[in-house]
Amino acid sequence: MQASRNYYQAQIIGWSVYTLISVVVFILSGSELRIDVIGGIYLAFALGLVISHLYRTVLIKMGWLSMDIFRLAPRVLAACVGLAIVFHLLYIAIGNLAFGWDMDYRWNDQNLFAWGMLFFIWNILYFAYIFFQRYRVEEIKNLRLEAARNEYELRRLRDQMNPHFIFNAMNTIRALIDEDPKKAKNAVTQLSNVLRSSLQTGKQELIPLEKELQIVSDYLEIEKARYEERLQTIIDAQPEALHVQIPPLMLQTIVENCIKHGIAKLPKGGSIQLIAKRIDDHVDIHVLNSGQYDPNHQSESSLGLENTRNRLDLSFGKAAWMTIGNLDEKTVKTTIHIPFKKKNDDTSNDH
Amino acid sequence: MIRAMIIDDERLARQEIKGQLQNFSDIEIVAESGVVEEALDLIEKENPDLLFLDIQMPGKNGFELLDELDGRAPHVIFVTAYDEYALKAFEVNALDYLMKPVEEHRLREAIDKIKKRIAERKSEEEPLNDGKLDITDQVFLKDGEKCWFVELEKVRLFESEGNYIRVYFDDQRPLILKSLNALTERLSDKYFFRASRKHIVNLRWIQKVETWFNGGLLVILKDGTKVEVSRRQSVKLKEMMAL
Repeated sequence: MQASRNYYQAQIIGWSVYTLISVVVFILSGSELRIDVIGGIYLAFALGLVISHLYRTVLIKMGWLSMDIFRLAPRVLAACVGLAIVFHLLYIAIGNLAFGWDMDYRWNDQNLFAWGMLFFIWNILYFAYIFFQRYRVEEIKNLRLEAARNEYELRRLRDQMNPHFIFNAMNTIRALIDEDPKKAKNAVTQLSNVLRSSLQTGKQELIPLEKELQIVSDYLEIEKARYEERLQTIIDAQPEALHVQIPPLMLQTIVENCIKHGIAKLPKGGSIQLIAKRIDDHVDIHVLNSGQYDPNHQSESSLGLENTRNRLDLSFGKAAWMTIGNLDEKTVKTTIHIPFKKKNDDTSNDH
Repeated sequence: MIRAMIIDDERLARQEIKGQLQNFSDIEIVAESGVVEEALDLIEKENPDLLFLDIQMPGKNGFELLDELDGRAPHVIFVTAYDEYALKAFEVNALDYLMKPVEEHRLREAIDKIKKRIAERKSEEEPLNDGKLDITDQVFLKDGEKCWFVELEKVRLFESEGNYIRVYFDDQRPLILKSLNALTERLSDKYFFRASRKHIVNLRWIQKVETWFNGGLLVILKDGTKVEVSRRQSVKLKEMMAL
């Protein structure tokens, strides 16, 4: 993997640089390069490499990589002290054995501090890299999320601007201008309302049911002008239910499907009935329409259903749900169960 | 005078096209219908030259309606709220369609095109009066989602495949649900010849006739297709070809 290759390269280069600096410092100080001094430098190189690598293995196992900086800082400082002590002891032990240094195990403050600093720098570099990586991954994730959101927004706009609906409405209005100018005027206003709402409310996460019902009723009025006696509608909402917040144009989409898959397919037409009731802390919205629901044959609209469920889930989690099925051989029933409380109202910052 | 019929499930949509057609003095609306089944009866009864046909209707759509027509298909102008892209899903070739709301000049263009086609046809041939399909008549073919309007002069061969007939024209060869016997009844024998139990050939497409085994004949069509003629039909073909 790229990340682990980077790590090994950085390890070798880092410790090599350290060793090189030691040699240069040693020469500049005018001391003689004896065999045991060179051995000592090699020993420090090897020990640094091995100890820091083992330390990395342990810190990964202990989950330090996912800690934030405030939990990490004290641990790293303690680790630096520990690592310095281990390094110091091993350095003297191996040096004494291999090069006959005959050094004392007692703490040499100066050396110990130097080793500690060394590991501190190692930690700084290592975690700087980790944090940088984490930041980059986070950023990519954010960009992806934003792209997904934009795509959804775009698709939503396109879906709402259902051209079939708009042009049929226009055609109806054209015919009404001759036949019933007053009705034609009303239809223009209603169509404007529907179009304006699709443009405006889409930006909001939630809107009151009352507002949504206004859009739905304007929409249905236009379709009634078009289908005439083939479409009957009833909207029956309790006043107590009107304040519940719902994702905008959700009901509108459902009603549109009722027409597309129900009414439009029935030579004699049918009816759409909308009922909203408050029950304790939630509202049940039932939509009954003429037609039959076939779960096996709904490619495009099952996508719409999926979308509706996703939107409910985003805003309310498990507290809201939707069902669709056949009430009898002639009627489809769609139910939306929606709580008065939003998802984040009662739970604190739980991402 | 062109005898036209309007088929759309929405009354106001019919009203609208009717109003627009008032500006055309040579178009007479002989019938209108909002229900496919009723429309089929009316087409049978009125035998219109031209249909203004909606695509999306309850029960059956416009293409399915045309598929139910037995024999000669009238000229059709589809009137629909679909856009071009959505229409591609139906894979209809050579289709005249208008989009709702209909623009006046588009309507005029479409009607002029149809008038031209009707005029060409009339000057070309003496019409047959036996009620059978003339060589200049067009038929509507539907194979799954694909649809075609085909003039019979373009069809070189009908070949039976079980309960279906494969129709050869241009580079297409759709399968339609029909029996060859029923088709023989509908086609004029002036132009179409039943070569065998399996084949009907368009006489105008024959390039060469060769003798075959046992006194039978082999017909070679202009595109190179070879069709065997049964012994009994060979006698008939010889009679027809003899001066």
